Amino acid sequence: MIRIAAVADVHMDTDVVGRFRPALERLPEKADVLLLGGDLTRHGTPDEARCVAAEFGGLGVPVIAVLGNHDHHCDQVDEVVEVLGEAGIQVLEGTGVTLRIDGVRLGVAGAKGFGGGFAGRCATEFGEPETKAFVRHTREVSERLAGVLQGLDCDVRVALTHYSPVPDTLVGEPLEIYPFLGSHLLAQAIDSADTSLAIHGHAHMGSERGMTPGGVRVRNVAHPVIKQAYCVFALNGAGPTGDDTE
Amino acid sequence: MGEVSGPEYTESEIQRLLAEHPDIAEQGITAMIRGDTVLLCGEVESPERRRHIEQLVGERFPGVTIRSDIGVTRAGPPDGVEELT
Repeated sequence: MIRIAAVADVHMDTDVVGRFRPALERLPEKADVLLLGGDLTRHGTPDEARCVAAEFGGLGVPVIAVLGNHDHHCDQVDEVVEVLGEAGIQVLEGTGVTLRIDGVRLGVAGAKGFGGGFAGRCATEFGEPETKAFVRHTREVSERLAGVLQGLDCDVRVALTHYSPVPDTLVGEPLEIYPFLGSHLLAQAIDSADTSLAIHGHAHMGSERGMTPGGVRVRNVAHPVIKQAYCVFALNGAGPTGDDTE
Repeated sequence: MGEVSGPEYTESEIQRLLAEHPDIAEQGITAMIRGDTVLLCGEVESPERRRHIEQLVGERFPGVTIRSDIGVTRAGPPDGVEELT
């Protein structure tokens, strides 16, 4: 069994340092890895990233993250990624990582994702350049995510995004803003590989559980949704021989 | 544009203020106008942020009464594991 801890939208700054740490101190007893689903900071500054590093670094388990829209606000993404990396927090963007946990290879593919809406009610690459650029970004991010998921050499495959791949986990949000909360193109990417779980955040007023059209479980771990320091998901890990390695 | 007013525009102005103010950056707060009262709802990550939001809205709209129902999101340890088999 692989135990995956996850939380998103912690929006760290100096006023939040220390709020999560007490619950994280015994994390290695409860989980094998921690996934952070974006919006780690308020504005995406290196100083705020240092707060993330202080709160989520040195936990005794690997910490893997994607960034969110807040982390892009000040256009200092490279510096933020560098600060997090120095604290051992690996940031994925159209990239993946494979970890060996009790003989099982866990693959995590990560990307921020983007909006556009959901099948049948979504924006398309048509019209003004601004509209086309918006949807193109989502398409390109989703295509990269699909490629990484398909290329992971692993036993258990997890997708980590900030934006949602499905409308299911947005229930509670105003319908009018769904196109700014996610895209079905992300679900299509997730369904293109043998993915076991998709984790995202971003939708503070959404709900926890959903499923892609292909049957992949989706979990919204935005902090205001889960109302605890993190969630833990236990996944059956079929080892290279097909054995359950629990 | 600036001379046009109404509850909907005020709600929109508060929403933009909270999202775009450099010291706030909150997108998860809902503002509703009821008469001369502003109702603020949502969750933030610290008591300081809640106070700051209430103060900022009060300064920007000095004639209105603010009723705040903004909560601080709990950050305790999880009480269980979800098994996905």
